[in-house]
Amino acid sequence: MFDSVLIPINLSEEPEEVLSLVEFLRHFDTKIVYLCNVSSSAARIERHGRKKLEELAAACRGTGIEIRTEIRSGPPAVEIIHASENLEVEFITFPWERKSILLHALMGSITRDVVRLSEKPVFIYKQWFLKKSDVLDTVIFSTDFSPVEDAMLPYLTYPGLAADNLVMLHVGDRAPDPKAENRRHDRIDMKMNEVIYQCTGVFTNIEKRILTGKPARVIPRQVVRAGADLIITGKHSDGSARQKVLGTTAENIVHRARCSVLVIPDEG
Amino acid sequence: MKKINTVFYISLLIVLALVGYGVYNPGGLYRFTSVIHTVIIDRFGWGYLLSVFGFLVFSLWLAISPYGKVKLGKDYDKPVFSYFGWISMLFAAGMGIGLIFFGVAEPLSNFMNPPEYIARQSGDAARFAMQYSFFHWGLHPWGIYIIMSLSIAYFCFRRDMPFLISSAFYPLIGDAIYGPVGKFIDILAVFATVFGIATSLGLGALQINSGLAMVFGIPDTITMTLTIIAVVTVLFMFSSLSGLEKGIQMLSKGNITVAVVLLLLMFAIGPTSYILNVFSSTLGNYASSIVEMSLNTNPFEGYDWTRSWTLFYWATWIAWSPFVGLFIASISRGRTIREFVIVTLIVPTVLTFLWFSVFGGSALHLELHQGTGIAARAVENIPTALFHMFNSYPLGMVLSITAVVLLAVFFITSADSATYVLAIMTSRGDVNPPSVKKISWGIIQSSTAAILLVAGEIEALKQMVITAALPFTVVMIFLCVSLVKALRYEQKYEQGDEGQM
Repeated sequence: MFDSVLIPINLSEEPEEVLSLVEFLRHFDTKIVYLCNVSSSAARIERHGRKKLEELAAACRGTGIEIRTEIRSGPPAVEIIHASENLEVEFITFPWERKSILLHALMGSITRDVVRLSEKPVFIYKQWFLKKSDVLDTVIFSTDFSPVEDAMLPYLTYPGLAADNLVMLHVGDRAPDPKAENRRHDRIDMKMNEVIYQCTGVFTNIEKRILTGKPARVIPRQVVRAGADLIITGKHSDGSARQKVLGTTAENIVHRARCSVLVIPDEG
Repeated sequence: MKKINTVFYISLLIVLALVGYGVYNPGGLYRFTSVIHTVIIDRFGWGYLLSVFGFLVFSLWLAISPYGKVKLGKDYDKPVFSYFGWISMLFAAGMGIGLIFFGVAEPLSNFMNPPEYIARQSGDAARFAMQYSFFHWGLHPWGIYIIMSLSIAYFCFRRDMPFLISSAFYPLIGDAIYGPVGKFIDILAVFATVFGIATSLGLGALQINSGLAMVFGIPDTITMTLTIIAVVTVLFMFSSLSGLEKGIQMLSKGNITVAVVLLLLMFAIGPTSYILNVFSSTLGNYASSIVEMSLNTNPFEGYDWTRSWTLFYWATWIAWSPFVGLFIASISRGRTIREFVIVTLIVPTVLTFLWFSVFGGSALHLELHQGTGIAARAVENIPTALFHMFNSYPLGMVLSITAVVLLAVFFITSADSATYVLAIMTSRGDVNPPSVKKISWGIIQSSTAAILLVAGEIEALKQMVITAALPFTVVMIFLCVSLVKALRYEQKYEQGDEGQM
């Protein structure tokens, strides 16, 4: 499930940061890591890229995980997706790099584009950036019970991601009246119990939270409240104009949440 | 333990305090409301224009969207009232007395005093006056009323919530509708309704008095006006106590019949071809300029005119929307959203256009082609405008008497429906409110009109209503959001796939 991974590298990363990410990948039992640099200029890659990439790879080789390097040129997000397909990796992971709002608005975000385009799981590693330990104490499983949940469940029950606490989180629209709202609560509660049943033995404590509001705003707040170390969330697009302009919930969570995020795409 | 009815007592307290202040310090209330009114219209005029246009577009979108099929009630509910009864009641509540008051006065006023970029008393001024009369009384007010009534009807009849404006906010604020926020919205609605209807009663009583003075030579004095208010109060209380199905429906049907008779009579007696020309060309001007009129505040030239007319009307319709909205909602159970929007937008608007063409057109014909000088007299004394016009045509006496009767009945139906709505709003949304509540509000609104008329504070009252319109504009924007959320939820989770939540 997590045997091989592609880590896009823009060469501004510190060796310690990349090492920290590779070490974190032990949670996933990853065996092969591809450090991949994509640049728009092939000459630039030859001048600086190859050497720097090899240095980063060398820094990670003591971890026991096989480290390979990959260099490509072209539009970064598209090339990252192509590389992940050509190398047949099982997921993509990024070390988190925060951009200012202005820079983000002007330049866009490769991470966000990859989350949007990828048909493989994408893991955004923020432990290094947030100076958090690599121990997974609390995991949030954010679900709206869409079809993507079937794809998410194996990741939730993956032994390497087991934590002491699991917060089952559902954020959705409030029903139009109190009776319908109670029915909605009951339905969600029932579905959560079905998921919890499948997680038996994986987590010590499981808490259910049913909230109303915009998921992209509420989930990051819940991360702070629960002190979460990881969110597992699904990605599906409803094709609405709003999503086209503002991005999917998953894309927004990646940017706002103060913890690492594992985004699972819809299998279909 | 019995819970205190906060909305009733706080509303009552506010109304009594303001009326008391108006009596204690005549002129003071006017000065106070003038400042607020000027600030609101000057600073937020554009907001009214944009919002009202938005409400109209939103109503049309609802009608043509898939949500148009949703019923204002359970799927098995059938409409309670016939089309005739329903349309009569919504017309009486929405326009009624105001249309009679301004049917002649508004075209003539704008003919005499158009914006500065149009020559006064010219053909252009006449065209402008008719076009803007259509605009102010046409689709836009009904767009406003639709937002309010549709939201209330949907949440109350389809979602079984209390018959209150605050109920429509459940998708946005949840159980907070039962707390201070919800109560604030309901109190604001009561406030706007009491003062809105008191203004209308005051102006209506003045016009009935003018009509009686011109037809029968009865003195046009304040005592007479107060007597009219007293008599009408007794009548509307009887009607209100007899309930919606009997009193209000019967009176509204009577009203619309008399109004149509008066309209046809004037059409036949007046310059028929001219009226049809006015109707046709004004309809064309209205249709081709509707977007421009909807969004144009005339910032470079003519802003004062926009402020005095368009912005005044938009604020007035918004302030009236809680009352009209609740009332229209109460009679619309069992209609689909599409049917509700289309009928509510088209039928009263067409009637209104005909009304203005017949009465405004006839008055302009007198002024432009017969040189009667009616416009100057009308502008001098607005309540008498209609009767001056009748006097210039054959059967003037018959027309005037019919108009006085119509005014009185419209007066009764407006007050009657307002009493009913106020009683509902202050009985926690009970659609069969206790008689004592109806009697209390009937007396309060008539006394308010009478007291403030005597104190010379009717203008202050008008300005207060407009002041209430600003928070209500915000309330209505959130109503749109709330309604869409509810409809989307229903379509997504209750009519189809329940998997995703």
